[in-house]
Amino acid sequence: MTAETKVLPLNSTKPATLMDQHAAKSEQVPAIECRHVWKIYGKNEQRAHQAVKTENISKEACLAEYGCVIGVVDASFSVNQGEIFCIMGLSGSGKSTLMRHVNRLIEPTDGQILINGTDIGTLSTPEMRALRAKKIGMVFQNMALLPHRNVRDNVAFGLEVRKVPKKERHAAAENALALVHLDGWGDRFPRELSGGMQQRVGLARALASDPDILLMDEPFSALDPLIRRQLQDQFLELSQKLKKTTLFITHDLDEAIRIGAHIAIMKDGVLVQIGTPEEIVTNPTDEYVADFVAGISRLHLVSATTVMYPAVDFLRKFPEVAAEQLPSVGPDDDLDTLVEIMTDVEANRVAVRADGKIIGIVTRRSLLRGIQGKPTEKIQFDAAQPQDAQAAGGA
Amino acid sequence: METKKIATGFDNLVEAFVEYISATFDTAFNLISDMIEGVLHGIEQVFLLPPFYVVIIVFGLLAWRTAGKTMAAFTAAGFLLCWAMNLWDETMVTMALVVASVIITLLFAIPLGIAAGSNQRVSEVTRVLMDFLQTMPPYVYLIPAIAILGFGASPAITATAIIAFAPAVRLTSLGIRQVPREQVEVGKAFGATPAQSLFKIKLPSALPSIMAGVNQSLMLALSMAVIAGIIGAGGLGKEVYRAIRVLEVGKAFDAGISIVILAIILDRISQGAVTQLKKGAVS
Repeated sequence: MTAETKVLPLNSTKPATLMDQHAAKSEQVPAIECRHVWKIYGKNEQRAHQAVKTENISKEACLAEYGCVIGVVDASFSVNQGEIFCIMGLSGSGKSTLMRHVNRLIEPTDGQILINGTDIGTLSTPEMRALRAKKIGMVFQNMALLPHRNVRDNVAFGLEVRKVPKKERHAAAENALALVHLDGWGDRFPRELSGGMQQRVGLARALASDPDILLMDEPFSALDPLIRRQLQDQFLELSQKLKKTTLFITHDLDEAIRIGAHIAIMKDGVLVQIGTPEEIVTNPTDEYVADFVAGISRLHLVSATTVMYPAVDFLRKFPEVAAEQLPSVGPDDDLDTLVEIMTDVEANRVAVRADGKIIGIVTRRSLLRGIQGKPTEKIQFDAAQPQDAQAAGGA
Repeated sequence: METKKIATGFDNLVEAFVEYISATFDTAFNLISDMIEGVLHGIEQVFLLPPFYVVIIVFGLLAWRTAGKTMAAFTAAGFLLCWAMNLWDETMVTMALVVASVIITLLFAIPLGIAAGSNQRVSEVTRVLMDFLQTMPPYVYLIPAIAILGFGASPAITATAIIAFAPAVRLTSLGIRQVPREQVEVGKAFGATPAQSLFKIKLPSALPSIMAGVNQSLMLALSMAVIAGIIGAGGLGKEVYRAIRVLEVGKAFDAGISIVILAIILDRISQGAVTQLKKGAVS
């Protein structure tokens, strides 16, 4: 009895939001956590903030009455240790502004930002500088390499600022350059490198001081599609090796889905939805997100469980199907695997097995609907059938 | 009538002010005057002590490095001509005057330019001040300079430094303002202090613009250094005035040619340096 009463207070008294649920999944302290972050630009930011919060005035009214521009509205999210978290939004949605709160390049109007559990709003300027120099690496959209320094000194910049001795920082820079496959380019100048290589130098610079957290502000947006794809792959590979917590900004949903373990979609300063790529694609929270995900290929995103008919219903409707003989997949296998099996073995149906037990059946019809992004229908029973089933059950 | 009175009143005020300053801070100004002359003599020695051909070779090489072969040849030929016209010492004295003035002016202009480039209010005040300095006819600075510092090289250098001041301030300020915003952000994001950001990011990025300012300062200083011949500065300016007074048209012309040669050499070398820096900075 006492055990039960002890459990109760753990249920938060706050209404559970999407972010809280997301945060609850991780037992560790999140690497990055934003709590109700607001940013309003303008002289009357505090008054405008109150008005927006309490009276819920519109963006236009805020500008007209207080001369303030709303940047970020009540953003809360958390990033687990070692995961890649994407913030996706169109230009002007406030995603870069939100990211700059994480290393306090921008001060929030209200709200807290926690790095490994420490509220960075309480840090002094030197403490904040040390945090930026040691714990947080940043990669910029337009590379922002320093043109008067060679590649090695660009990469070593963060260490130089921390007064690490020359020999040591050059060694660290060489290591970082090797990580991005640019060893031997240290003596060149940024202007001698192609765009893709420059951005790899930018990434090496962020990695050189071995930070816990990477902030990547549309790092691949300025590159042409082929190079972008290459760099995404390289980055993913590197990320699996180094396991750095990464906050990744992009305006490209394809990129967010390829890279992010979780995605937050941002519109007009508001985080409209946070979830895994599959959650976002299969269950968009509003029309805005739905429009975004409409063109996204579901083949690698949606799992078999989403498109299957529950085994109980299906076998009741089609008792003649010999489910045990069907080819089978696991519940987390994606639609692409299903297509592969159906085309390979010419099967019309595939069983979904969890721990050896058949939990569902995927048919051609449900698979094709799933690829289209339509929900799997409920199995309708004819008036006569339930009796059959009952009879079968009774037999 | 009334306006005339006001005007006379103002004139008297300026005169009284200059007189007051020169009387009150006499010791201080003597000290400053001595320091300025010390700097000038030091630089003069650098140009005058070595034999003329050594100076020619050094400047030839400098021109080669910054402005190319043709300019190196011109520099050597030009200086040889000055020597051949028997104006070598005067040319070197004038160059020392210019270099000393520009060094002194940069000591003040670059910090002020950085401040103006970093702060809007400083920038506005500075702009008004620079407009004033630049539109004032150069001769006007000579008289108060004499009044305060006496006759000789130090008022000449002071007046020259004032004339050369504005472009260095303006272009330093412009250079600091033009540092790309994302580069400044890089400094912050990697934990640089404001001083580190200034010396490791902003100044290197602004260097081509600052050097363009130095180039303009050099040119203005040269024109003023010649004018300053009136108030006892030595060199080519003095030679021009001497020749005009005794109507030696040929001699005056020789000195004029030397001034032109010196101007071209100083301009091309400093401009060449700007080009080299810009080439290095293009990303």
